[in-house]
Amino acid sequence: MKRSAQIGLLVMGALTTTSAAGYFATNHDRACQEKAVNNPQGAPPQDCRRSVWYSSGHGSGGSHSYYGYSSSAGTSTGTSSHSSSGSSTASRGGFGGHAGHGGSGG
Amino acid sequence: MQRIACDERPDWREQADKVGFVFHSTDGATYWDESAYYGFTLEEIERDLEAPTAALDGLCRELVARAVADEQILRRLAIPVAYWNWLAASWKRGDPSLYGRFDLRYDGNGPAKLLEYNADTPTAVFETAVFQWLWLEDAIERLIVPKQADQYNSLHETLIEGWRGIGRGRRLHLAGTIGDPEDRGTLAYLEDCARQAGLATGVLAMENIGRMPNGSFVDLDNAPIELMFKLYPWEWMMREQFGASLPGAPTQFVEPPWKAILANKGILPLLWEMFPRHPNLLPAYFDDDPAAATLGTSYVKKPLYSREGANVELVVSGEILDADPGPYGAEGYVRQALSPLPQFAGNYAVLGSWIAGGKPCGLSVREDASPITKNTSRFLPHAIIA
Repeated sequence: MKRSAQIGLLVMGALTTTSAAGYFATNHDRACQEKAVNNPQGAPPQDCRRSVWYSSGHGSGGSHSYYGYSSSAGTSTGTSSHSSSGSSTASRGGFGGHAGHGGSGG
Repeated sequence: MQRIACDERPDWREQADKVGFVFHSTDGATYWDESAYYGFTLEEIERDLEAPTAALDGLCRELVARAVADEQILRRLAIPVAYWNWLAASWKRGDPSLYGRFDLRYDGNGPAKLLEYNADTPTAVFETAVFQWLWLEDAIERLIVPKQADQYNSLHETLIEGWRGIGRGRRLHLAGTIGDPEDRGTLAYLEDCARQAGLATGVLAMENIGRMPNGSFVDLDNAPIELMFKLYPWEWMMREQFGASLPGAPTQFVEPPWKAILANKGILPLLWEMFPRHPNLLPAYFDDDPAAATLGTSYVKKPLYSREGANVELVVSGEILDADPGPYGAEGYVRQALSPLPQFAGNYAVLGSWIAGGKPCGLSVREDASPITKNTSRFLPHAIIA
């Protein structure tokens, strides 16, 4: 039942590698094995593991990109114009007015 | 299903911080709670939770198919007329959904009952997909749970698979209320999944979304937003200043516009009307429907639009037994038959059953001392132990 598995986190602040059993890994692998039956090479597809760790150099949260993070996310009201490239004008502030309700999730 | 008290890992806070789970405590109170876990049998998971989740997803899709062709339903859901054709087009195009969470009432006996569907902006995704899995691995290692314990949880890889299907190789903007730690964490996690699926990503505050004179949406570099994940409810976007540009904009949204129908509590009476006596549904009616009287004097009153238990009232024998204040309710209410959450060691527990890419794939458990689940309700891990 035990399968090798990894959860690779690129931008969450750390790269964590895990290994555990998994009922769902098992289900996933069962599906993979079924695919493998029809695989002319006779080899399981590459995605037969629980998840894939991309060793892309993104680790430790160093590459997380925020576009225009604003700590005043909850306070925006009016619309303003902003153009970082200076070439054309976009209006901003037309979304986000409900942010004062707290988190957006449910 | 049982609640099993257990030892906390002494270093769980460090573990949480290490993986970016910064909202494990809120206002000094613990949100992540591993002083106990919920144990399930495999049969409970497969028969009572996984299969009904797939069934509920099917019912919801039938409802959307009907709603986009029925103005009366869209009006009943208080969806502004200006968006009706846009929602319908989104459904007919088959705009893909990434994920959703069905909140279920279940105690280990009898069928799980749908309390509501968080179809648009479900949160608790990181702690479900990652941190409770890491807990399981540690808990096995430290003999906190049986050695053969398992977990109903492939949410992480299903999200990656979902992103791959939506837009591998494409550029994705993720937008939300990034001043809120939980929303910021949720966005960061979903960004992580998208990157692993091969998308180029960036995060943007909602108020920094730009609108060009032609009505298209751009980021702070004025680059077009072609594909956008928004952790921000559709009903808010539709009513904000830029909402009027949504139908004409070339942006593909995740969740798609048709999810605005399913994020509405009005689906509860509509589902009951379409599928009466379905084992996974509770009787429900619009508050102003005379048939609501058939529920008697005990019911749960929910606003059409509401989040995290806000403005929900628990009415027992005509008296409001519990209520959570909030800003919702202007669009109307539904009444749902009272089916109190089960209590385990004095705690009310609600199950969140996750679906991603159309596949049921994970479970979260929230607990509260109150029968109404709120944003402060604690998250407990679970394990399959038999």
